[in-house]
Amino acid sequence: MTIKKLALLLSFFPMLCFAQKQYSVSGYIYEKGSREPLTGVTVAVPVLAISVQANKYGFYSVQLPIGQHQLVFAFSGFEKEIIDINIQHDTELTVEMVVQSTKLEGVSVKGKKEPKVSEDAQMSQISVPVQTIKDLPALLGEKDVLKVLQLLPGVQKGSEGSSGIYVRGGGPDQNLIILDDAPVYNANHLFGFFSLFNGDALKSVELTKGGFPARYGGRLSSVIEMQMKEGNKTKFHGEGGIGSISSRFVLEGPLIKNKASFLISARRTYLDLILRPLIRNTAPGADGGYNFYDFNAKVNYDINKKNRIYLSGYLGRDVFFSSFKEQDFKFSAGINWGNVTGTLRWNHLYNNKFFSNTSFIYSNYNFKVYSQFNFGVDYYKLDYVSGIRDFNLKHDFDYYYNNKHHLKFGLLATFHHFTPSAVVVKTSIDPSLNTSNKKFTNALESGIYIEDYWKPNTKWKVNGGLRISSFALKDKTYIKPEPRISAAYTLKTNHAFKASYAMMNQYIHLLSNTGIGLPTDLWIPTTSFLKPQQSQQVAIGYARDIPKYNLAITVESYYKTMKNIIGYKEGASLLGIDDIFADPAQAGKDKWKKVVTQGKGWSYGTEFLLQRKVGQFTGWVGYTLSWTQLQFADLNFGQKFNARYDRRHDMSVVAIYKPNKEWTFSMVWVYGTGNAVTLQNAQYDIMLHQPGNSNNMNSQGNIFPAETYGSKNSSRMGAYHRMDIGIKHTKKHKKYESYWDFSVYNVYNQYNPFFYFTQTDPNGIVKLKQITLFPILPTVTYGFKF
Amino acid sequence: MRKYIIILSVIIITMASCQKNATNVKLPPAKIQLVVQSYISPQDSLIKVYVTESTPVFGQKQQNNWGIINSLPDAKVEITHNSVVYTLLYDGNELAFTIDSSHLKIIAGEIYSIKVSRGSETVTGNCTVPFPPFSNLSLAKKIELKAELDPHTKDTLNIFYQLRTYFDDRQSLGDYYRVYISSNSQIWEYLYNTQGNITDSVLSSRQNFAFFEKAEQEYVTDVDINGQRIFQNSTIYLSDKRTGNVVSTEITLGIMHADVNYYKYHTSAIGHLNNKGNPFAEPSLVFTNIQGGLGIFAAYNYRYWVKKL
Repeated sequence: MTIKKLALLLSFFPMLCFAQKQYSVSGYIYEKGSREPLTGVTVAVPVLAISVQANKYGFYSVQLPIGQHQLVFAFSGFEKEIIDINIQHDTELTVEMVVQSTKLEGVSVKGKKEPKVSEDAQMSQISVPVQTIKDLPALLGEKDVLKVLQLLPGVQKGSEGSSGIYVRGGGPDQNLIILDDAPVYNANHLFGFFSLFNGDALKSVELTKGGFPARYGGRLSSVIEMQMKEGNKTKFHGEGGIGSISSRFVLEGPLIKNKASFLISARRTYLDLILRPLIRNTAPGADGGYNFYDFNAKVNYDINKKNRIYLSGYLGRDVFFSSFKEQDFKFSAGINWGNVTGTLRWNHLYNNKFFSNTSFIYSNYNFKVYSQFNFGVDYYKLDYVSGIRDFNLKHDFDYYYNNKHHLKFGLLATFHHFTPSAVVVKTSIDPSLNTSNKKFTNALESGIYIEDYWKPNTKWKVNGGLRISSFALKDKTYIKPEPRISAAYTLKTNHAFKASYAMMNQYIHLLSNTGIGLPTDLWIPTTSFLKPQQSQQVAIGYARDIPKYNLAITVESYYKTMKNIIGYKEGASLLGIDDIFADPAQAGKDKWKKVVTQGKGWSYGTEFLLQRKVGQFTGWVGYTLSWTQLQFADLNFGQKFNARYDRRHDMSVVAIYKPNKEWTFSMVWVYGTGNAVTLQNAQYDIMLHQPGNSNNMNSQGNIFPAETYGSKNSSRMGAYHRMDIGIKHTKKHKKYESYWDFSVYNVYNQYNPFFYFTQTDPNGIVKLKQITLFPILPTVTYGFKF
Repeated sequence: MRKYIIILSVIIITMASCQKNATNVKLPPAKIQLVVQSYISPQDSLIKVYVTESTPVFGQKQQNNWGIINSLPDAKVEITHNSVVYTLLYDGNELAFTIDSSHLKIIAGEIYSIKVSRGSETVTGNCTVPFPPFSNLSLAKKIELKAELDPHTKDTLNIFYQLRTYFDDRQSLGDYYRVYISSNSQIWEYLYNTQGNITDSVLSSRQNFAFFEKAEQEYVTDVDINGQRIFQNSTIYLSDKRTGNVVSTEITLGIMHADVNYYKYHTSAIGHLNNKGNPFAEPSLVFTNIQGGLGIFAAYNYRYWVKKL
């Protein structure tokens, strides 16, 4: 079916009828100066009570009757643009908005200027301005998108310093992290302490934790969508920073003025450059270090008014290595992991109501553990590799049928190539040990969706839709319908009630027995025996705007059920399961069942968010009261238990004060109930049976000390709390701008526990000890831009 | 700037990773519980029940019994079968409560209950004795391996056998097995005086057990493989020229048909022991079927035969 026929069909949609002749006003909205398309701008005609939203590529379309009208374009951080227009026919109107110089942005819902949470049907969605990420104090000065998201209600961190995200009781694998349409797996640097997104290269960050529109799928708990800047189309611009552990640089500019631009950014740590000389000096023959780097690049080209193309890419890698050499003996070992993504997009405008985006996306994540030793002529080499590679085709349509209906529909197909576990052993010592186990599994994940943002009257706003997802393996195909709906009812001006329901399916799983997001966690596919994870979430909420004080309040309660969530069986781990993961699709059910278990989960809670969005003083107070429980037939003897990240109370206070253009003061305070953990409370002697012995066991053999724990995760770590402060001083020079950013992490030096262990003191008394990773940590970063 | 970065990095590294006593931790109550451990079988001549108690971990002096259990002789142990209550007596040599199988017969298919009391504390448990295994453990293949060549004489020091064995599961769901392969050897053991010096050496008998390629080949469940032939790969050590130890070339091929309690207790205990001490791994809990306490009351039924390799 051609696109035109499809458009025609949609135009006969029975409920979409109206009498008066209308014309459309459509076009793109840009930032003035850079010509960077602006995502999510609100286009309103207040007299007619009409408002629509530009899509993520900056395109909008609004239908108006013949006559004189006033259009208002509003977006967070930009001056409001008011345009009077006389409509006599379909009109193209390109708008350039000016960055606001006096009022300042904070966190905003849907990114609108003076956002009114009470006017949006969507709930459980928050966009964080990139500037806010840059303004807040950060661990070791590394500004981190995911750590700012952790400060929002309903979102929890895993452990101290970790950038892992736990949304409404979901695990870290249940977040769909998208960078320019490309999914990113294991979005961490430095064993989870930093995320791999360079804030300088980002244009927007949006988190959806419930009420998922039908266009999103593939994960149970959240969607974190990030868009890279496209690059300034009018002049060259650079930005960089030198921090305690890394430096970064961004350069953007026009390739063809107003038609094509580029952006490149790079970041690298220099921990290895500092540590290697120390290691070499203290231990002759030894070498080792760690570094991470990432590189973003993007080019775009406006072919004509109806067509534009974008090409963007990301490359990032963590490298940890060590070696030792002495005479004939040489040893080296290490671990490295990284992501590569690439996106080629084509925006096409069929007519002034009908927009499409077609993307071809490549994504590759892998990690490798290696060790090698040579002794004279003998050698032993072990490589352990795991990874996932995706080829993705995505075709999305935006159809602004009229002012009451904005349809989005599309399809996507992802070809997954899994290498869950490949082991290669080469040795001269014993040829029988040589192994080359490099089997892989392929799967095709696809989905079609349609959603309608429907405004039947001024009181109601509804976003309803349906997604049908599928996952095809060699021997099995899953097809799952996923209904979605979210609605808002405006009680009176600035007051709204909201409700939503969403069913989600997830076909790829992260198998982890650490819960702290190590790169050694394995991505594995759904198989004939391993069923897709599924969640259903209902949420209700109340939204209130107080424009007089630029305040917005939202209260949301949610109840989420999850089934077929995945976990290692007790005692199982990454090691010793090679034979299963060498070919997961073909592994027998019995083999799977010996290692992997699937279970159910329940999460419910209430979130409160009070935020001030604009002004010199911005910030928010977030609080979450929540419960998360899991149940697996093979864990905790089938009894329900608290999830490790079950957190009864979670609170964050974020404040940014900008008295003038030179100074920025910021503060973050967080408090959270301690993680649920399994700690021993008593000990006893286990007597294992000795087969073949007629007395079957005796009092002097096969006795092992064991600990009791109550039930799984029945203990609580100490409560976590911490305050960070930051001061940023910006200075304008003739040709460039520079800043010094001082921040202090954990300013009152709270010793938060990272993990516990037992230790026996000299008197033989057993004590519980804790390791704290980060006491007070002051850092300073120098930055510049031109 | 480089100087600053180096200084700052050193500060960061030295300040990081602080260790201190844990505070504000909510621990489950360290309740002292009775621990009962007993495996009963129709083939055993003596029924034994070990009764100990758990001790709190924190704030207590760590006990080290050097592999000898701290039995509680003042407990009262009763086993009930067909509504008849049998009281077991404490045997100071065995450090266990015992009863001769001529008094308390262990019969396949029958239910047995245990009740252990001490002071105000009472714990209970029960198990059903499985029927004998459906088949013998059969030897499908053996490969003799000579290993550990002496670098000077090029003599073979050790002889191993790689074995492939199998047994047939019966056509009923929920069967649990333990497979064992052993040989008897006479090994030289040193005798020490009180000062820790070697005074003599004696030849004593020891049972050598085969090592299985995977734990699930030793502890077997027929879930998903019901009624099938089940194979195992194992390795058994037979001789050592260096020590002069005398090793039998006869091996015992045994198979135990166990109840689910036996299976869960052993597999969970092995998982628990394997995961101990790893702060990043989730601890494994040890199964118990003792109501109100800890430990195990399980049953098995076995058959074995001896084969010369």
